[in-house]
Amino acid sequence: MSPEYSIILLTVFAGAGQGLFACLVAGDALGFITGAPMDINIMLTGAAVSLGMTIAGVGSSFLHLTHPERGIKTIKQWKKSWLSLEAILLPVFMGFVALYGILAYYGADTSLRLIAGGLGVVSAMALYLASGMIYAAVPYIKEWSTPYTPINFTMIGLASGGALQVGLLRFFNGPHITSIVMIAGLFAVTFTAMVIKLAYYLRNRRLYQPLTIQSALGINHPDIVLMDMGTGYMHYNTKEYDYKGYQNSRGTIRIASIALLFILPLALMTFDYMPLFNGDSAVAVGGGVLALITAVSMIAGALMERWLFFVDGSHAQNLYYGGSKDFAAPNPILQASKKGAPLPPG
Amino acid sequence: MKQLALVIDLYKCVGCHACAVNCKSWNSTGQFGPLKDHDPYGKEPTGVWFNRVQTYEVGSFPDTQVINFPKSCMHCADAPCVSVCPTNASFKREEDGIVLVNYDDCIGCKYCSWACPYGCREFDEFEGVMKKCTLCVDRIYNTDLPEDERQPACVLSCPTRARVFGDINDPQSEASKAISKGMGYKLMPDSGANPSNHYLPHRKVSVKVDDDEITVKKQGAIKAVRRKVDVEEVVIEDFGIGG
Repeated sequence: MSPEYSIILLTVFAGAGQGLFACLVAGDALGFITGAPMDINIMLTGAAVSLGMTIAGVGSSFLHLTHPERGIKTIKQWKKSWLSLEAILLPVFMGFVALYGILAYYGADTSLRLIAGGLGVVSAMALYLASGMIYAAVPYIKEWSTPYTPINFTMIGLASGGALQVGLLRFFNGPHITSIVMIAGLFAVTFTAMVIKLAYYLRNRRLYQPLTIQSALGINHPDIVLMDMGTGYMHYNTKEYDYKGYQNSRGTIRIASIALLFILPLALMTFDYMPLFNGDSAVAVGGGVLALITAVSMIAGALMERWLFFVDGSHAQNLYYGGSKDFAAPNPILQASKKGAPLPPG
Repeated sequence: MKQLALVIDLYKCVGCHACAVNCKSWNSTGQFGPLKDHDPYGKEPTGVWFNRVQTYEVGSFPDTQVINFPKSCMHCADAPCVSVCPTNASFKREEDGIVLVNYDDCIGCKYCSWACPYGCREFDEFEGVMKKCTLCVDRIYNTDLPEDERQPACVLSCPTRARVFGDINDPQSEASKAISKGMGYKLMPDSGANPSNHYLPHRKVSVKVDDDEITVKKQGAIKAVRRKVDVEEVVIEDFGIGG
């Protein structure tokens, strides 16, 4: 599949925004339980950053649509289309985040604020599911059509958002117990996300494609080769479904995404947060700069990971272009005519 | 329930692309408005075609068969593109089973094209909406046309009559008869989409070629010597239906 950069930005930024808000509310609830409430600055900044990232994601997703002015029509089909559900849940989630921020700003009752936050977290989780299921519900892209997809979206969103939340806690010197619990949680979430992502890559390496060029054409013969795709140049279907860019660098990008998304953050977390566990509640090294680097590294890694998610997807319709994996089989006649060489006989 | 569809005979198809050209011609001028191309006379022409003819070589040289394969929207009974559309711009007509796109409701999210296993939906970059074969719905009910022309443009233009149009759920229709008589099959029967268009299988044509009529170039690259080949025997046998 060709990478839709607007959707990559939407899922990464909105995913991190949802994760940040979920961790923010979790930290808030933790402060409420332990009796060491979080600083209001953390709540306001957290809600504002979460809202800002989600709005940035939604804005970028509008670039993907050619008719965003008809966006309101998407609410009609929520019963059958995950995309419609996502379009409904996004503003619902943003509304709860804004409500949470407003309640925090005007110093409303803690329980009221936590209820708004809790509903926001529920909508964030539903939103992860809806955005993941958009891809998982396409049975003709085997790489996507798996429960791993929504789980991946959720875990990576929670991890990158959690890194932002821990950064805020460090920057504003949040309550000690909350910081400890959040960091331990973030460590666990990041590690689990890594295991799930690696399992997903392993799954895709030995993927069984039940649809074949034989069943696609209804011709029962092992050797079928596309001679002529009917047009002299690429068209929508070949451009959209058979993306050949950066083929040689995909392995490097995959390693870089794992390093930036999981390895580096885990190392930085260990380095940055160890003093906290030793009872040192002082402001982190550089006032949370390392925590910020962790979050930025995670988001950069998540952008690469989402790009790979798209380009790894191999659509069943590629079978009509000579096979799902290597439709790139060169057409000798087309190649010769491009080079200006005489056409081979025939 | 009525289900209009096409039945395409792969044995009769000669790969002349007349169906594709006439489809493009009618749909550039019909009631659905223009169907523009990008760089039509340049080096990289691209644009929406509802019907495309692809050519496959089956078997390994010299024992090969050429199969011309026209493909357009299958008007599936359980159309996956319809259920994923967030605005209901893609819909399946109750009265005749044609899957259509309401261009005024399409937001251009391209989700329906991801959901189509046959790659039969194409995005019109000029209008920013998804387009596809309409089964010439603006022809088949058009009372301005003579009655024998109320058929899809591709069917009318086929010189070998390889395309049959009709209601596949009516056992008395031409299309149903063609399916039952010619062992019609569906593409990707395990896709779950339950396509309505049927294909009649290609049948193997054997042409005897002597060894001295073939030159084998080094490194395995093979090529035929273009010279007059006397057809000694033509054997027609079933080619086998996949599934």
